[in-house]
Amino acid sequence: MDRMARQLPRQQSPKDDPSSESIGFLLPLDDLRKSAKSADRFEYSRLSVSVPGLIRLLCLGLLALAGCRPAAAPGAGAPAETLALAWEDFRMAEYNRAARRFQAVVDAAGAGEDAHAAALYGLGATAALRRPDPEPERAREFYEAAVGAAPESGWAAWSLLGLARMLDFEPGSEEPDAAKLRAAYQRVIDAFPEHPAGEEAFILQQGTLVVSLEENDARQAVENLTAYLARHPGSKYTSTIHGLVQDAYGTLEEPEHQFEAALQAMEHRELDPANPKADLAPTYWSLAAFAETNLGDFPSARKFYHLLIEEYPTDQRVYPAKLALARMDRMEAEVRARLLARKGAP
Amino acid sequence: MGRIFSLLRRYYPLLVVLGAYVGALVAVGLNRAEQPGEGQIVIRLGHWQLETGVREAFDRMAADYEALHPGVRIIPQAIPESTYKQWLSTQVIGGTAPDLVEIGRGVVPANLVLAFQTRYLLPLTAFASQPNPYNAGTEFEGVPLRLTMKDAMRSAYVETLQEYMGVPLAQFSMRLCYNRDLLEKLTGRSEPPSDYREFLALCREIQQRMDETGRSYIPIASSKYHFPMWEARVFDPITFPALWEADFGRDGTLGKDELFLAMKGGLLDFHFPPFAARFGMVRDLTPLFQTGFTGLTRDEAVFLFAQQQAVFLPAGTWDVLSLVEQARGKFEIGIMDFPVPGPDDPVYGKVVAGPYYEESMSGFAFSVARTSRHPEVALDFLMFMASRERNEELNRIIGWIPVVRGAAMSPLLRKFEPRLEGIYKAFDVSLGGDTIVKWEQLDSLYQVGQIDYEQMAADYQAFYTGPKGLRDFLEIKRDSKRGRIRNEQLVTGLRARALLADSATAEGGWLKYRTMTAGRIVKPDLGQNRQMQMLAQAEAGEKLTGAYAYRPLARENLERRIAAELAKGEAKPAP
Repeated sequence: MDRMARQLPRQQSPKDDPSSESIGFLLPLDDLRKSAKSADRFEYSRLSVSVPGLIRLLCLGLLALAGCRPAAAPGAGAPAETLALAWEDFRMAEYNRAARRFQAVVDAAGAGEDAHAAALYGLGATAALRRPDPEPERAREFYEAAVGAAPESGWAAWSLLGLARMLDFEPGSEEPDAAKLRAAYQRVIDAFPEHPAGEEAFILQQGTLVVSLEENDARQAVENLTAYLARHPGSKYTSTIHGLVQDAYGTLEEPEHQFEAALQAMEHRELDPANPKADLAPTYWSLAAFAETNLGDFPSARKFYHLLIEEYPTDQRVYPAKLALARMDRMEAEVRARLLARKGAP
Repeated sequence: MGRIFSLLRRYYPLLVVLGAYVGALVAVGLNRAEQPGEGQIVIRLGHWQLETGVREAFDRMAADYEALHPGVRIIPQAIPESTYKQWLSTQVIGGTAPDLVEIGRGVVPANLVLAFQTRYLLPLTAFASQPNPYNAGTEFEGVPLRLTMKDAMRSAYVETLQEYMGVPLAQFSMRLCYNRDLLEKLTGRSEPPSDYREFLALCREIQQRMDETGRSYIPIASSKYHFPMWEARVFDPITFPALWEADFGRDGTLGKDELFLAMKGGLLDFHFPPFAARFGMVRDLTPLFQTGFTGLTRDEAVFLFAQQQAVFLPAGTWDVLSLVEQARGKFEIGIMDFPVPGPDDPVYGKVVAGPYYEESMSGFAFSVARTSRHPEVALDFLMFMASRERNEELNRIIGWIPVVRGAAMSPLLRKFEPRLEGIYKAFDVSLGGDTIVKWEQLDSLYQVGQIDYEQMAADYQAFYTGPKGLRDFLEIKRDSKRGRIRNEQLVTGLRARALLADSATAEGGWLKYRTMTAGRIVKPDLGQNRQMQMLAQAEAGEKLTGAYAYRPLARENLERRIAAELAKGEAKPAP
């Protein structure tokens, strides 16, 4: 149980909001009754007080307030801890609290400190992604401030990417301006070519070419992505890049290249062992179906249908895979019979 | 006596006040008795399961756990299902939620589920990959918790959050229950036939029989609650062949948007034989239900069955023990699989692609509330109930199927074991607002026999493929785009977690981040754009190519390969 206690995240609840300030005190009813005999009175509902009584009340109230401990300011802890709490708030969609925590770190950390830039990035992300009431202008200011505060840091890289991503989901606009978006990604790539943010910007930029479904864009994407893989053979996004190449070849209607890219995407795919739904069943199915119906490559199709059946025996596609295997047997028998009949063989 | 009466009348108000005061004292006293003693830890568990055996099972689990942990007190709280949602919402918002809360479909509106889980529940991912300490000494000692469960805890994994958000404690399935004694009395048979046609004939025979009052016996008790069970197990799976035409995404499932495109593109319509067969079976079976079943509630159908006016009643494992208890001493309950047509059925045989598939449904899941004062104890109790021995005992008392692999279950429940190979539904024509309303209107009229299939098909086909269907389809696309911000928020949160993680957990964090980015951020519009291309083709009058149709290149390559084999003398049969 102690181990479990250490592993559980620090509790937060709406009641733990450090920014909430709730102070209560009891009305001194005895004083109210005594002061009812004073000359100056006013009536408020059924309560009757005199002016001296009211002054007495106010004094008591101030005394009570003096004894109260002010609520702890957000971010009173160490910057690292406050940043972690701020991101926890962000994940819980508590954007106001997240912003207060990020701001507290900005205020507390020195301008050159890593925490300062990290908090500015957090403020940018919160302003950009909060819903309802996004604040795109403020988000841009915060992101640019993060870049300015630590231009060589990872926070600057992620902030530049954040600025680019904002163009992809601008409130009120259904379709992003593809040219502007690609230019924004290029800014990240130029500034941080070997940083993960730069790599991601490259992939997202090429993704805009692939999703356009235009032949010229698809050809450009194939060229760019293939060249990137040659320069970065160990990229952790190898599977994703092959997947984009696969889709581009789909637009170009080159099924053999499309299948080859799909195989590469599968072989380099990262599977999260902690995710029970991250498995290769859908991939095996898709590869098998493509091999069967787009290429007529029945040996490959059979291989992947059998892999699906053996490795994922409870997957809902198992029975359909068996139906597909039977279908291929029938197709082969039909073709064989037709060819034999054509040859005149028995 | 008169004096007493006079006193009562005179002091009536005072007596009422005294009575209320005494009542309040009792209530407070009882409540105080539940409060923890000095140093005692209290864990509250909230659930909606009022079925027979559930409360007894929790009481037993609580007693056993308290015997092992004397400083802990477990207090289960059963809340009626009809008010559970409101109760839970109020409790979590007020910060007074029980330590363990039952979660499931429909508890929170679909569009609020993720926010609810993120804000009010603790993620349990770290514990899903660790051994359950209460499995020590069993075959699951050292085995990660999730691998001890039949579905590897898939049902509790929220992919959008990349977290396990609960622990399931039971599995569920559905079958057809029958009154064995009444069946024998009315038909002379103690076992019903599994063949679809014979089952229909048997039900018609039952329908001809009258009781002592002259009322006809009802072959099958049904209601608006039970009808979806027939849809899931009998009517919908036969539509599976539509997948071969319309699964353009080639993921082995058929989306409602894909079906719309297939209908617009001339690949499918309501005269597609499997679709016609589905509605044919509705017409076969609904006359065997009691009149007005579409407006009746679950309890009304159960009442008919319990009163021995109906022979058959579909039921889930969550209801079976309750039915057995109601029937105890009166009649014997039998369990059978839903009767479905086979490949040799004279009417539907040509379109039957196989038996129906049942997903391994785990449920009865519990989460730890963020506001729990003792989350480690709450989680420990959950582990206790999810252990091999205890989960078997918990479900033995309730009469449900254990979720832990290899756990024993009663012979009655063995018939509920899900079938994990088969065909599944490929029919969903409710795209959005207008189409849902229209479909429900027409489908309801069809179910009660007020319109025939031709009329329903004609009316709906025109509506569905017309401007209103198109509007609903385009709204799905717009909704998908609007939902992308949620992916962006999640990915940004995952990225931050990975950036701030220590060296031990950073790699796992980055893996989750890349997985999510690749799946949801890199090319979210690709599938949509391809669908819009297909829509443009369909609207231009072009017929679309079936999703799994052999392309010309495939046929050429196949023919070339077999010709080469034949030329080499390799005229071997297919593997």
